[in-house]
Amino acid sequence: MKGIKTIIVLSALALLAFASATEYPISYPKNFPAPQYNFKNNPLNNASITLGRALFYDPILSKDNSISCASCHSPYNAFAHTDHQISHGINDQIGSRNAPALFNLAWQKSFMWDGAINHIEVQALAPMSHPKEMAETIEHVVEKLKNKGLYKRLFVNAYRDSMITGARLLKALAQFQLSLISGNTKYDQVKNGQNSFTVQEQNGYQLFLKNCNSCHREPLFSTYAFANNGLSVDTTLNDFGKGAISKRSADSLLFKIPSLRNLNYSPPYMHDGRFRTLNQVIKHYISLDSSQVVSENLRQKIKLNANEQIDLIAFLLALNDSSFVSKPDFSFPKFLLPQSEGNKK
Amino acid sequence: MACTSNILGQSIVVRFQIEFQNQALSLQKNYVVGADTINIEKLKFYVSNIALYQNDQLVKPINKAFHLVDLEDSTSLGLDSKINTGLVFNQIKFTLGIDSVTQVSGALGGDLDPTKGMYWTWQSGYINFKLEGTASNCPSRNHHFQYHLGGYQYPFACWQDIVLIVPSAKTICIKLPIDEFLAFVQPQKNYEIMSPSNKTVEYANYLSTLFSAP
Ligand code: HEC
Ligand code: HEC
Repeated sequence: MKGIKTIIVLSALALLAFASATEYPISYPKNFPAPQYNFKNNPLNNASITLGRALFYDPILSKDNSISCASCHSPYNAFAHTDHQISHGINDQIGSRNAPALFNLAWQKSFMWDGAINHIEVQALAPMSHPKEMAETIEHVVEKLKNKGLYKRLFVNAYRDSMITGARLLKALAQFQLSLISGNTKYDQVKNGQNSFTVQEQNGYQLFLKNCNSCHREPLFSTYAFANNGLSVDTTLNDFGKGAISKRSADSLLFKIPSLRNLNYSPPYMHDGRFRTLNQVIKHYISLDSSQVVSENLRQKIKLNANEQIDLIAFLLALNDSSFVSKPDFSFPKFLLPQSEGNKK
Repeated sequence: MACTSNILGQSIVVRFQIEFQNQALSLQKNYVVGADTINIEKLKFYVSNIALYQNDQLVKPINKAFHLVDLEDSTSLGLDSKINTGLVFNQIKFTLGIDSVTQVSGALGGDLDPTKGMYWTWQSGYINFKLEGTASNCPSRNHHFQYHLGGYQYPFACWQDIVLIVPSAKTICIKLPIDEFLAFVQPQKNYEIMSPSNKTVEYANYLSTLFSAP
């Protein structure tokens, strides 16, 4: 009885999804710059986003079906991973970097802490095939998906035929991730006149503009360029960032500037997760002195007294987007996937 | 085996003839090269923008799209132009590898689909040319060598435009002697190229000189 009911529900949903293979209207605050991603050539559509969402939460993308993208990128953590400094993958093997939060990806020119990935659509190949992350190959994932009725349906909905290819899988995963837009923080509300800062936040905002905005530029809170913010090299990891990719000494120790939105949900901080609190982050910036090698925008000493530090943190807290982390459209798609161990991780 | 013409059709055919010691290269076959025994397991490369020219003037484009030549799939070695014979031309031009614009265009389908095993995963970019096998004198694990040549960003950009002089024949044969490539890279010393580097560019430059139309 129960089985039949599920089938009916599923096919009704499939019909619904088919009916909604329509363009997905992306919306973001007016003061955001133009996205880097070419939405004109690749408009988002509801059916592809649904397919991408299923793939994102489905551990079928890993070798032993135990790890999904969401294992390391949880919606409650603004799609970062908070339990560990450095993310855990298959067989609990430890990778070498902290999983970044995922939002406003359409505005990024390159991906990963070192910029090794040049386009959101090819990013997923990295975790899927990383021996310590999902340890799979895209060839095999495509084979596994071909044996699943669910994916036959979802691919038909998204692409009008059931052909499952690597490119289609990757584009759908990208579509879901591109829909993850965070633009409803208190800061955004203040900017569009629906809210106002407290005195403390306003003071923090001024301190932010003076000391941080050159790299963490509003309204995205990053230029998404690469910089050295003076972290000493962790000799157990010896991670030299962009330099290891470009093989140029000038790029040594440059890491992608992360956005400062949603910090409340995404500790620990920095590429190796070395700081657990914003307090530690601020202490790091004010402790920098001329002995440290840093990018130009940090060469002037940052001076913040105890009150100013509190004000700056108050401003950073106005960059949390609670509607983003609780948005039902972004969460685990219960209507498509069974709840399994891998998904709960 | 000589490069045979397409007897049935009437159109111009481009054939890639991969050779080892002047014979068509067979995968999984032991070749004795001096004191070394060489066995090729994988050979794949991308070609695109194939076109016929007469004294540097374009006569007819044959295939703009990216085509993966894969020794494992004999049908991939020939390209039927669907263009009738009777054209006068004396050059063929093509691109070996993937240009920088295509390289940053996201996930692409057809022969460029990442399931074809020609995409680097931890760092974005297509592999232009992939050669894998064993050489008994190669000091690596299981005597294995892997040459994955690719890269599109300065200074490691290594896709190549190749021009060959050819007769106005129905079958255009393009030879590539893999033994000469291996003699240049020396698997007993250099057995692994897995990312863009100066060496990658050096190897790709040399590789581009090995194509010929007899
Ligand atoms: C084992 C944990 C783990 C898994 C599983 C995982 N990721 Fe990640 N993800 C990371 C880490 C760590 C990084 C940063 C890697 C780096 O900088 O080298 C990252 C980076 C990213 C980025 C780049 C973000 C940016 O701002 O540059 C995206 C996008 C992403 N992951 C999406 C995915 C998708 C899609 C999947 C599933 C196919 C996935 N991840 C699976 C840990 C993981
Ligand atoms: C020179 C450019 C630059 C300036 C100026 C700068 N930062 Fe950063 N910031 C970075 C870079 C680069 C990183 C990533 C470093 C890493 O992980 O290696 C970073 C990381 C951070 C992080 C961690 C975010 C995360 O998700 O892990 C926080 C928080 C932060 N900065 C806050 C600030 C504050 C507050 C200021 C002003 C006092 C500031 N930054 C000024 C470049 C800068």
